[in-house]
Amino acid sequence: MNLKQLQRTIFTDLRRAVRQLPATAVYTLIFLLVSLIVIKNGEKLFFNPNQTAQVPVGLHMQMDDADDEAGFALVEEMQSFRETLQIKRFATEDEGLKALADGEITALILIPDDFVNGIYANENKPIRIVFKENNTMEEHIVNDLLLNSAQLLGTAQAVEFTLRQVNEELSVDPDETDAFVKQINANDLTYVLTREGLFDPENYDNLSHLPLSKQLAACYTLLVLSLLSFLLTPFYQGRKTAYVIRQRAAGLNRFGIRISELISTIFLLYFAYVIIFTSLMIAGFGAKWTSLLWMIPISAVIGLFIHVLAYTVKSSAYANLVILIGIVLLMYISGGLVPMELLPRFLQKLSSFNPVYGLIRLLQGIMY
Amino acid sequence: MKLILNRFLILCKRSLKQPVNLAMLLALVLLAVIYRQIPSSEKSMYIPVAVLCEDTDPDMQAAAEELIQKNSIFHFYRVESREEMYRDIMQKKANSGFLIPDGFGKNANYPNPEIKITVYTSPSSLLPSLCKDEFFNLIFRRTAVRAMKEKAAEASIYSGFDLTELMKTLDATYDHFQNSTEIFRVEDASGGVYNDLTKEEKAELPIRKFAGLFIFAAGMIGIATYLKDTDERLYTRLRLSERWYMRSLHIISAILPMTIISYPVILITEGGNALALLGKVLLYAAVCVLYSLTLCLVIRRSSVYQKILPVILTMSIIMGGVIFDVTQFEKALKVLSMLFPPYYF
Repeated sequence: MNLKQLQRTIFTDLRRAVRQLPATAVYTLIFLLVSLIVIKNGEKLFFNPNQTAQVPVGLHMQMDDADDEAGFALVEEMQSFRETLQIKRFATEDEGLKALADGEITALILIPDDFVNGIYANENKPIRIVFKENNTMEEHIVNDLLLNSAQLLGTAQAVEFTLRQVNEELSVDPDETDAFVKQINANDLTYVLTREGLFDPENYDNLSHLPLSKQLAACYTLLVLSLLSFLLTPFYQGRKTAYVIRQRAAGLNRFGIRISELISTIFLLYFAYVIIFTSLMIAGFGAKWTSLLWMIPISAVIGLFIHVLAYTVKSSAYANLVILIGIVLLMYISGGLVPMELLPRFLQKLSSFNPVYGLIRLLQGIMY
Repeated sequence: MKLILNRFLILCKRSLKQPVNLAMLLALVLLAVIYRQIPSSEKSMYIPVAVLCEDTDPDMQAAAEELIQKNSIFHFYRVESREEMYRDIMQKKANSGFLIPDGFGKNANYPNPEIKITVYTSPSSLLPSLCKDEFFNLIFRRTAVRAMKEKAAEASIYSGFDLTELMKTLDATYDHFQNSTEIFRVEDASGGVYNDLTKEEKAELPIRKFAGLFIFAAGMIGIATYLKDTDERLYTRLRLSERWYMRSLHIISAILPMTIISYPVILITEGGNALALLGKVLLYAAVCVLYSLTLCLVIRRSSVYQKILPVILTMSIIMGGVIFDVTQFEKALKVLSMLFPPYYF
């Protein structure tokens, strides 16, 4: 192979590639715009926030009992109640039952008279819950919520009853027992009211090696670069046979021509990555600076793929369709469009045979 | 009229010979057959929650075990690793996840301990506070007795007693009361019928969206064949009105076979009012024809069209609702999606 001729051809091809820069920039920016919108809305698009509506329930309790009112206000302030129930007060039990029959409410909670004082007196007057059908999701939620609150109360009572019974058996002074029980109850109340402090809320992203937005940013970078093949295949196919014959006559074989074309493809793909890199920085999904270096071999791999495609499928129109179907399909089954974890299990198993999956993982590692 | 019909039939044949058109038609029929073969299954409406207990504290192990056995609207299940929990939350197999880290149990009876239970939620997590309260309830049952015993060990009122014996008595009495009917309870109105909380479900395939995309793509291919013929100077001797008629004929002949196949496929898979569906499919096909004709007005050369076509098709795939749920798009994205007909189907 004539090396001087190869050098000349590379420069000629690079000059051709420079003329393609505006079109490359336009293509990259169009695909990038859509990609950035998807990346930004990834959580909403993939997780489809489906918050359940509050369940409407009725409540009947004696309005004149201050202790019951205070107790109810305390329960109503609980986060789980606020999140789940929409409570409507009824002056009489009959009014509540009528609303339940009319479908206005899902359940009716009936608080017995003197309920709070009854607990202090260890009478434990039970709360009644009246359901209409007793087998809907909403009714189960109400049931769970009230069972849960009742069990919290029951645990606190079990502690109090334990202390009183043990102290009685040990003949501890009743006044001292009262004082001690009061201290324990206060502790329990503080513990229950500050229970949020036991939990550390985290987003699912913190379990992953990469947050969803960054996973998507890497995947869509690969997608945008691959879609540039729409522009690059005509670039290869635009070669006239005369040109190839001329190059051969000058001492450059087919391999040399391909090398030269590949270098200009890497140049165009790298240029596109610089645009993507800058846009990601501006959009707040900034990639590592070292990715600018690692992107050169990645561009070579993508370039090689485009190159093979351009020379396998002769017609530009068909090459475009093969690219469109092939890339979209390959990217989809390798977690490029939708994160791998969201795909069905059988597709996840198939991913180990998919080279694009490896490329995506590599790109994620390089970029973040 | 005979000439129009002849030309139309020839163009239809030509369109059906296109491998891409054939592939799309076959894919549509195949999707319908697959959909018919998928049996609908009864799915539980439990809200699944993953639990990972890394703590070796026996109380926390017991709390996690009791949680898993619990009968509630949440179905708590054990996972073996953080990776498994992440995978399950991402795949929506788990609605949320609880991680009890090693060392949590040691200080669990104090408010705001240094080591906390991590609650992992995603944007689609349901009732996270109620779920947390159910977990707290089981922890409280164990930490309440611990706190009581700790305070009793320091209290002066028990100074004369054997502490080991006292602790044993406190434990036994607490257990007795926890299992007795003397403490406050709400009558469990539906605890026994949680298993009945199911719904009939069938795996979803976006067949309608695929059909919409294919009808649109067929129109695009129709334009491509017309422009190719124009580039080959086949219609140079035709008048302007005749060229319009040829354009329309190309597009309609490409769209029609796809529309004819799409209608029964959607009808079989989705059911519903056959006449209303026919109206919708025909209206959509008409929109695609108009869209293609408008595009033909702007683009006159095949080489330019070859460059634009991939962008239009890629955008239609991403924005048309085949991959993403268009209802979840934000305003700007929705407006952009409206530029591509598959959005409306």
